[in-house]
Amino acid sequence: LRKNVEDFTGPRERSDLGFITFDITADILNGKNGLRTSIFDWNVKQLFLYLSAEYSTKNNALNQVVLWDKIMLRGDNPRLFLKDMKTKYFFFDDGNGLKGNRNITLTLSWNVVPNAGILPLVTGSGHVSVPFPDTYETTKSY
Amino acid sequence: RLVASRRRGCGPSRGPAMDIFGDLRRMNKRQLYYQVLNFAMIVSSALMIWKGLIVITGSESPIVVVLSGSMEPAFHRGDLLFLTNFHDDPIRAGEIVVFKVEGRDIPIVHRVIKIHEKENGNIKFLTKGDNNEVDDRGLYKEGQNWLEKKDVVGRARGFLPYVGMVTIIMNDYPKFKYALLAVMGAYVLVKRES
Repeated sequence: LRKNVEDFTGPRERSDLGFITFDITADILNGKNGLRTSIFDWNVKQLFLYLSAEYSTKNNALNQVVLWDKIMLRGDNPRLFLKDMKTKYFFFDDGNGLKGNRNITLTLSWNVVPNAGILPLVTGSGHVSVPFPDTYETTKSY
Repeated sequence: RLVASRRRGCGPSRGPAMDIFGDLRRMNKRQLYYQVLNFAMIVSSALMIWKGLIVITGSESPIVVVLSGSMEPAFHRGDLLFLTNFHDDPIRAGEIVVFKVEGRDIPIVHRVIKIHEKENGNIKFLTKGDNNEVDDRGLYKEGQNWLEKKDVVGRARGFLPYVGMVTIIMNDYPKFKYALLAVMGAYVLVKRES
């Protein structure tokens, strides 16, 4: 699981807005019993994948923002090979905590939706730390 | 010597014909009371199990029925969800929560997409249905931009498809509900213990 990013920030009203482009290379496996089998066993209807950013700011001890999600149905390829993806959702902070924030952790997680039964939330191994610059980007328009 | 044999549980003798009638009426009444008590016991046990679930899960409504298609294709209208609402369970992005908007009775099942948590544990979060284009801000109360822990009925931990359809049918077609109750009532009265 690997991600590469570039980023810019821009203030909107009073909250920081971050922009990230990313690549995802992933192979979703079922890690049960130490074996690495396909995640789509007989009781898996679909996976809800999401890329979330986790970080701390002066305002809030913990922030988590879902930047992108994808529904993977049973039968789809469990391998992801995405490049130059833009975030699906705006990355607003609750305040101005993105500016100069050196440690934004991006992780890929998924919600396993069974045909019937328990709904587990799994976090993928492998995550990427992203720093935001100290200054706002004023030249580009989005 | 001829001795009239007395039937079980009969009262003062009024002659054989009156005896039989009296006995039948009394036996039916007693059996009826017994059946009603049996039924009441079943209802009480069910209520106890429900209350027990509320205590164990910490949720005021541990089992909910999905009412809309806003979480498709994961959940469809009529699916059943099992919730927990442990106080120490933190709310994290990606979790499926059932919440109630202040002032409204209808629980909504959506996913948490943003959280901002203070050091003291105060958390505010935003939700969105998987199948919706936009987040739930439009569903919240006027001027409300975030949900808080107190709005949460529970976290979805397990699910069964289709089973909740019965509740939806009973809600949409009250005649069906009355018919069902009538059948159950008739069953109580008619059933005999062998």
